[in-house]
Amino acid sequence: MSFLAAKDLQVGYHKRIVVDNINMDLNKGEILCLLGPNGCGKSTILKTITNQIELLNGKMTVMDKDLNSISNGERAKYMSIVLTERIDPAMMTAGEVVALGRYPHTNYFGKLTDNDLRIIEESLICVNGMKLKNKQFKYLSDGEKQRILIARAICQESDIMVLDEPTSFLDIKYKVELLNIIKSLALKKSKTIIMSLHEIELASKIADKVLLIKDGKIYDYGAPEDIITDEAIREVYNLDSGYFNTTIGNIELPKIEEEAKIFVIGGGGKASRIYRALNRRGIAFNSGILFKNDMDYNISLKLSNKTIAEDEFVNIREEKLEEAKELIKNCDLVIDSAVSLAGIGKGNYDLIQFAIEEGKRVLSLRKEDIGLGLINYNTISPMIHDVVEYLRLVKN
Amino acid sequence: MKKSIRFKIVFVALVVFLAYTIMLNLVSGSISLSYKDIIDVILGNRIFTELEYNILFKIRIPRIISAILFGIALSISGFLLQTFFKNPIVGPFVLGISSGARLFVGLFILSNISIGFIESPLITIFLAAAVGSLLSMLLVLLFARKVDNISILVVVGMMIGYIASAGTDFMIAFANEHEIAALVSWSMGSFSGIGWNVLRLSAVIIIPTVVLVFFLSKPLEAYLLGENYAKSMGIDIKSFRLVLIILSSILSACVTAFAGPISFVGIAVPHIARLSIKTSNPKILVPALVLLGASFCLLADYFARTLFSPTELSISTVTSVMGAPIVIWLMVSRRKKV
Repeated sequence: MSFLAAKDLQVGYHKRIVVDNINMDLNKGEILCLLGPNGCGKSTILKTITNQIELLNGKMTVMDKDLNSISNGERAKYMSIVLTERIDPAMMTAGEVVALGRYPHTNYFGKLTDNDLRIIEESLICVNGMKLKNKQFKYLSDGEKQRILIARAICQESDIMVLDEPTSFLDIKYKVELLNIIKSLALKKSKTIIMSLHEIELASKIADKVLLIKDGKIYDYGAPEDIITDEAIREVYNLDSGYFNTTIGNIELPKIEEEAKIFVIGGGGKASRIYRALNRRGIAFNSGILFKNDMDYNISLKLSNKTIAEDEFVNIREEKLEEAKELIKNCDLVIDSAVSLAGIGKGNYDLIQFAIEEGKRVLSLRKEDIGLGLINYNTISPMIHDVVEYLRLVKN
Repeated sequence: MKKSIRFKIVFVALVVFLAYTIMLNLVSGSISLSYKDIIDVILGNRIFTELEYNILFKIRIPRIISAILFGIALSISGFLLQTFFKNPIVGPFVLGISSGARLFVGLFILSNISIGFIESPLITIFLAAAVGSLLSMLLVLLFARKVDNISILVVVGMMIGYIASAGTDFMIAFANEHEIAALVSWSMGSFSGIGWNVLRLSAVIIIPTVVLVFFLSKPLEAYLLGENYAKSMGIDIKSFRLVLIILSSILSACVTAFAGPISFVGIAVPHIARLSIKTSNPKILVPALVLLGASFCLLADYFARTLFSPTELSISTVTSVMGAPIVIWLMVSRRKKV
C-alpha cells in the first residue's frame, strides 16, 4: 500500500476539465515533480491537491483515508503548502509567519508551548533562517521569503508538503540551496513532497517520480531516469526550434542554416563557448575532429552545420582527416580552440598544418607557440570580433 | 524580549492617555468643574451641587461613555474590514457602509414619522442600520469580485456612499421642517444627547461583539497570510469570511444608528495602533484598538465641544481633519511600494 495515492483525478474549474486521468502513488519520503510547459495544467493539479479548488472526479487517499471527506482542520495535519502567490502579512516578523505553521496544533488562543517554540526554531534552522527570525517579513528578499514560507510548512509537521514552483524568482544560488533543503526534508524527515518545477534539468536531479503534462493530458509518469528523454522533452514542450539535452541538462538555440565559411577545430570542451559565440552572431560554421565522448561533440551536433567526429579512444583515421580537409579547403577562416594535439589528437595537428599550407588564416587561443604562424588571442571575444570584421570585408 | 517591553510601554501609555481624555471631558465645558472639585467629592469632603450633578450624570458622563463605546466599535469594525480586504485603507465610512446604514435609518425615521409613530423603538433603528450596512457591504463585495485594484474598490465604495447620501437628501427634500431638523442633526454625527437607554443597548451590542472578535484572534492572525494559506491551516474560510462581515457590519451599524455616520475613525485608529505597537498580532492589537479607539473619539469630541465653544462642531468634522490626511498618506505610500 502506498502512502499517498491519487486515482483517476479529474481537475479543472467550474466543471471545465483542465487535466484528466491523473494517477500517482507515492511512498513516504518520495518527491514527485510536475513538469510541463506554461498553461499545461500543473497549477490546476496542485490547486486541486491542496483543496483550493474542488476535485471534479476521482479519489485521493493518504494511508487509505479519503482526503476529500475530511475537514480543513484535519487535512491541515496531513498536508502543508507553499504557494507562488505573494503574501503581505502586514507587520508580522518572519518568526511569526513561521509560528503560524503550528496553527493546527495549538490551543484555542494559539498559545505556543515550549514544544512549539522548539519546533519553530528547528524549522528555521532547517532553512538557514535563524538570522531572519526577528526581521519583518515584508522586508525580506524573494529568496528569504521563500525559505521562511518553507519553514512555516515544515513547522506544520504534516507528512505531505506541496510546493508550487518553489524555485521561481530565485537566482541560481538560492535554487540550489532550496532544492537541497527539499531533498533533505524527504530524506531525513520522510516528508512526501509534491512540487511543480520550471527547470527540467533540476527535476531529474531531485525527483523520485515525475509527472509529465502536455496540453491537459498526462504525457508520462515514472522515474525521471526512465521518462525524461530528449524526445519526451521535445514533445512535451513543443520544442520546434532549439534543443534540450536531458543528459547534460543543456539548452541550445537552433543552428544557423547557411553555408559555413568557418571551420572550428575543437575538443576537450574548449570549443563549446566558441560555437555559442558564433551562433549568437548568426555565423554558420563546421567543426571537427571531435571524439564522440567529448562534451564539444554534443554541442557541436546541435550548433555546427557539419560535425566531423571520431569514435572514442581511437587515433583519428585517414578518412575522417580527408573529410575535414575538404571542409577546410572551402572555408575562409579556421579557428583553433587549443585542443590537445598530442596522442590520439595528433590528427588535429595535421589539420592546422594543412590549413596553413592552404593559405588559410588560423585564429588560435593557444598559449604556447607551435611554430606554424597562428594568429593568437588570449580570450574568445576579441577573436570573434575579428571573425565578424573579416567576414564583413570578404562580403564587400 | 524587546518586543514585549514595547507592548508594555505602549499599553501603559494607552491607559494613561485614556484616563487623561476621560478627565479632560469630565471637567471641561460651559460650567467648569476642576479636578480638585471631583477629587474632593470622591474623598467625601464635599458633595455635588444639584447643577453639577445634573451636568455630570445627565450630560458629560453619558457623552463620555458613548464616545468610548462608539470609538471602540468604529475601530474594531475598521480593523475587521482591513483584515477582510487585506488593505489598511478601508473602513466602514470609506466603503460607503456607514452611508448605507444612514440611508436606511433616514428611511425608517421619515416613513415612521409620516405614518404617525412619534417614538421609534431603538432596536428597530438599529436593525434598520444593520440592514443598510449589510446591503451596502454586499454591494461592495459584488464589485470587489470584479476589480482587483483596491484603489478602484475604494472609489466604488465612495460612489456607493454618494448614492446612499443622495437617497437620504432626496428624502429630506420631501420631509417637513420638523423632521429635517431631527434628521440633519443626527446625520451630522454627534455624541451629544444620547440617553442612558441608548447606551445600555449599545453596550449590549458592542461589548459582546468586541469580545467575540478578541476570541477570533487566532484565525484572524492566520488570515493575514491570505485565504489559501489560512484554509490550508484548517480554517473554514467561507464561514469565517461571513463572520467577519457580519461582525463589522453590526459594529458600524450600531454607531450609525445612534450617533450618526462618523468618518475615518475606522482607518485612523487601527493604523496609529499598528504603527505605535509594531505588530499585527490580533491578541495584542485588539486590546490596543479598544483603548486607542476610545481615547481617539474622546479627544475628537473634546475638540468638537471646546474649539469654537459655545458653537459645537460635528464629530465628523474633527475626525475628518484628524483622519483624512492619514488615509491620503497611506494611499500614497502604498502606491510607492508597488
